[in-house]
Amino acid sequence: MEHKRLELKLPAPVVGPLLEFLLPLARETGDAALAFEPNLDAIEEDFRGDWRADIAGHAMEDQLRFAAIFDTVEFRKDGVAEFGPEDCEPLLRAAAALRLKLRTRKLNAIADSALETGEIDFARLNKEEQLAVTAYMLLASLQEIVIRHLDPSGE
Amino acid sequence: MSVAAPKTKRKTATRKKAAPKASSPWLVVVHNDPVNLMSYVVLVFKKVLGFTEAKARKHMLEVHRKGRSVVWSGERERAEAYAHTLQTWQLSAQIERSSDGT
Repeated sequence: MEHKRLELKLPAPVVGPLLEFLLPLARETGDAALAFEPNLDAIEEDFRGDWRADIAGHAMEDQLRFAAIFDTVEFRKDGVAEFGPEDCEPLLRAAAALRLKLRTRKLNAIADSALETGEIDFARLNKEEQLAVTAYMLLASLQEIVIRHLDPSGE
Repeated sequence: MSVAAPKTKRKTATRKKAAPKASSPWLVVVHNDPVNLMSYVVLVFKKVLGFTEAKARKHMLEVHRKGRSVVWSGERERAEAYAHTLQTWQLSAQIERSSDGT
């Protein structure tokens, strides 16, 4: 199926702080690009290093693509990001990786249930946690938009 | 149902071919995580494993409710390829040797 280009629009005032928060995470390289530690217990020992490095390499490529799509003059100025069909899958994977990173590194004081339902008392969070929650939810919304675009038959 | 070949865009690390082992199959197991969206997991199962919408949703719900789901079983090298691809999609996947040989 051929897909059209997608456009995402966010309120311009929220874009700057979110980008400053997310871009450093998205530009991590090497081991830091890994969003989770892959379970390699059943993989032969002499193969584990290559396997892990390959997962990290994929994660880094996806997150750098994410950074390139959103770190633009247009997005910073108007809150508008445009991307093509070839960007959809890398964006989905990058958003998943970034959400996992946010969960483990910035939001570990918040219960899973609160993050799932969105019932979070913002006033009790510090500034970094507020940004992390906003970014976490924005990434989920981005994923939902892309998933509906890629798979309109899904429920 | 036929299973789609795993899709990896990068060259997967090469390895020596493992010596033939006992006939019990290898399982690809996906574990629950509190972060990935249900709709995302369904999409990944459809794309990577070639599942129908109904089968993808069934396995996603099994992961969500029971903490894990066996999404594929068969020979070791294909199981490794599926687990690797699922991990590149940020899912908590691993391979296990089937304990009952099924």
